[in-house]
Amino acid sequence: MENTENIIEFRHITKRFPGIIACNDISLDIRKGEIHALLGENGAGKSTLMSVLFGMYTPEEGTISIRGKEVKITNPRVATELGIGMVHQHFKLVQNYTVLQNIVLGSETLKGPFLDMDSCRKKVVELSEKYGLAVDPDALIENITVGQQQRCEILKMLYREAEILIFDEPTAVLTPQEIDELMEIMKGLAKEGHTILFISHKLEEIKRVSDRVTILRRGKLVKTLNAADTTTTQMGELMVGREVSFHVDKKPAEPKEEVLRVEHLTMINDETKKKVVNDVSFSVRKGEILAIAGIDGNGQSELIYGLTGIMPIHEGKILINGKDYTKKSIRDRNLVMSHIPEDRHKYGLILDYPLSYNLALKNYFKPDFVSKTGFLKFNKFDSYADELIDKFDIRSGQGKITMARSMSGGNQQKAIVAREIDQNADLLVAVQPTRGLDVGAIEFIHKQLVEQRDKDKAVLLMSFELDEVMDVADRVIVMFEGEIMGNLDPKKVSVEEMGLYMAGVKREGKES
Amino acid sequence: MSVKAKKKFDISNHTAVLSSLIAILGGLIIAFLVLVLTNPSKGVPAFTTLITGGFQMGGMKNLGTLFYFATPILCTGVAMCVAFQAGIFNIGGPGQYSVGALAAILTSLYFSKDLPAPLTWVVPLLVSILAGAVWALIPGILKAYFNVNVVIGTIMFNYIEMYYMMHWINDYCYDAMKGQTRAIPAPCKLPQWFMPALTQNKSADIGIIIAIIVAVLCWVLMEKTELGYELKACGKNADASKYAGIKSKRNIMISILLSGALCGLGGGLTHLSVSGTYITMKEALAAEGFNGIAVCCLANNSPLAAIFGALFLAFLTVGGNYMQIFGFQREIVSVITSVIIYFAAFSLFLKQMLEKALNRQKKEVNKVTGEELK
Repeated sequence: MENTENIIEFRHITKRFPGIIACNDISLDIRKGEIHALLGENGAGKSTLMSVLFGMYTPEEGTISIRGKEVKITNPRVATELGIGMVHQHFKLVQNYTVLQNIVLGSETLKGPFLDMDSCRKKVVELSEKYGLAVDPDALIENITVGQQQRCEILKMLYREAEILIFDEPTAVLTPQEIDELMEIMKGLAKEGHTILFISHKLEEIKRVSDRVTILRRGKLVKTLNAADTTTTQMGELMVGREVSFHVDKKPAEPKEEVLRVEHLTMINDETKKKVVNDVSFSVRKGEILAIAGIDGNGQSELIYGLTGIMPIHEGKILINGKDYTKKSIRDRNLVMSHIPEDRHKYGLILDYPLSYNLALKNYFKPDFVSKTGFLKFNKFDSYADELIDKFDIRSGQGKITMARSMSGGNQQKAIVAREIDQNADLLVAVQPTRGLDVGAIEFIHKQLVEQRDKDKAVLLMSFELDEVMDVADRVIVMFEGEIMGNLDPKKVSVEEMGLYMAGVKREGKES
Repeated sequence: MSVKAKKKFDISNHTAVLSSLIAILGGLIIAFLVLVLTNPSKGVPAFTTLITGGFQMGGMKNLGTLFYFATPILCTGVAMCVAFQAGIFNIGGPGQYSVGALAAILTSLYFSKDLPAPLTWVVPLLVSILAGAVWALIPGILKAYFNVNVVIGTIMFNYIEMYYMMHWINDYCYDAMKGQTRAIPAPCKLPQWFMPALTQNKSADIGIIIAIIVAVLCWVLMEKTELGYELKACGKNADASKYAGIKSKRNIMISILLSGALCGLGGGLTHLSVSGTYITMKEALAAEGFNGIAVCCLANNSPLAAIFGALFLAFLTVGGNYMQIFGFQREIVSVITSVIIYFAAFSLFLKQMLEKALNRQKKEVNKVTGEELK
């Protein structure tokens, strides 16, 4: 295992963006065959450094050597030729292509002038079986879940026989079991001589899987440690620069009257005609956090779409504060329901609008923000944006006039959370609110959710992260294949038992 | 920091304008080469005429002509800006423009010529606006409620308009002697006010003033109002707009109807102009409709910048017409203007290059002065 041969050497890498130094004079050696974790808060420069290695960005200063030779990685194609592969945080897939087509795209096997899809398929199927990355090669990307899309991304990299593998927060969307599997895959790959660079916020995972860990903070390299010689607490402190608490402090819930009631909700997938949500009933009361747990792709996303009005429902009823909202418009629902959406780029933000416009997305039509004659009150837009930026510590290059597109993922999410929580609606629907965020930001968002609960709001949390569900929720419903498997108290159920419900092995009597 | 504070004018805030200017310059250079290659001896004077807009030959009178040419393409240009910003690719400009023109002709011939004074021209103008909107209605409904591609919907309607209009002209307003539509009654023409004095052109009218006012109003609508916020939001991210509770169907309808109405206005203003123009019976789409897209490109989708874009293209048209004096065919003139328009389409690309270059330069400066970016 002790291998001191350096496969990658970063020397004095500096990369600047308008208003921010993403990487500041970073020098780092990566050894051949190791799993090297990069740890840091949002905007610490991990993703940027990896993008530099993958040729997405050219650094202003510094050099990179691969296998002892200095290289200029000007674009991803060069990186691929050097045997570098990357699974990005935001997937780079063609939505209306199949999994197979996406995997082979750009390195197709040809038979004469024609595509030889059969041999491609064979290779893909072999890879997917070998690494346990189950995904239907003929499914269209737009029809599969985020988790399956990621598996496709990993296969894409393996298909290209990359030797240096970069994983940008690969576990953010996986279930505990899937994470275990991925860890095994990563270890297996390392054993075969692959070098793995692994970006993560999850200290436990880093401790479990990596050989060494490098901690970045605000663009600077803080320290490189042997994972075996460190503790999660120490890593957390180095990353944030202060002590952090991993546990969510909260009083026992005091549920009051019912806010949301979902009755016999059924939703049908347009294409497959399958019932993706099947006769689901539950309710959320003031002063409690109800979590929907389950493995990705078991109808949770569709349930949320139906509830928030993004997709029409097939059957059933949605009652909010006793009023029937089944047929109400999204605008009407927004007045009583805040919604932190699952996909922040697709639904949460208008990326080419400035931050201030995005923060006003749910308010711009209210009298404070628009005059009776229809003119926007830009003073109010600005002051409101300043208020939220200050209150929620949203960091960006140019403050409220920053285009949402140029903000880091974590700060984009903070902006959405700020906007939604500030709606002060009776019901807060938070879908994967901490996806891809760092410890500091997760802590902050969890605190906000609990605070909302303590302010007598009803909170519905949908998350694939079991730790989050167990820590934050007062009550948990587990979904499997569109149905509710159990209505559980996280204090009385172990993680393992929860896993059985999630896998559809265990089921208790349905309850509203 | 002190260096920055002193320098009020920061070029990186004006890349949009600069890139349009560079695009135009590039187009002019190619145009010059084309002229010299076509006719080496006359190339230089012809080019001079082109870029001086013929003013040295025709004098100030040309300002009126310039306004006359700018009016329709400003209207259609603004129409495209409004639609494109809302994410609706209205390619139906020619149809909507011509329907507006025909509506103005018919209304003035059959209805408004005997009305009290201002109504004689106000009513046909309003009808032309309405007609343009109506012509956009069906492609709009198809897009909003049946998700039919708006480009296809509007293009098809251009051809329906082209043939259907021949029937209308033939039956109701055909001047068989001249082979074109009948002349508009004098009282129905646009008022002239101070325009002839200003431009020293007897037939100048207030068309350009109306068009400029409309462009400014559209800019205000898009940038300052709730509706503009919603329309642009739909154009930039339809999913997030839906999530925010914006009614996308309604906004598609509003943007395409507004766009159609503006094209119709362009047709009305041109055909009610004092200089006068006619529709002839030929199978061709109105170029004014398509030139609106060029104006919009040049203006980077801003209705305000469209004013300058339209004036510039009209300027070229005026100058181009004088080039015939040097023996250049009309078609060559069209080639030249097309080359410039073509280059204008690169302005977005140039903008990105410019921003990149400026960023690099800034960093160099920062390195030298030791100033760190936050």
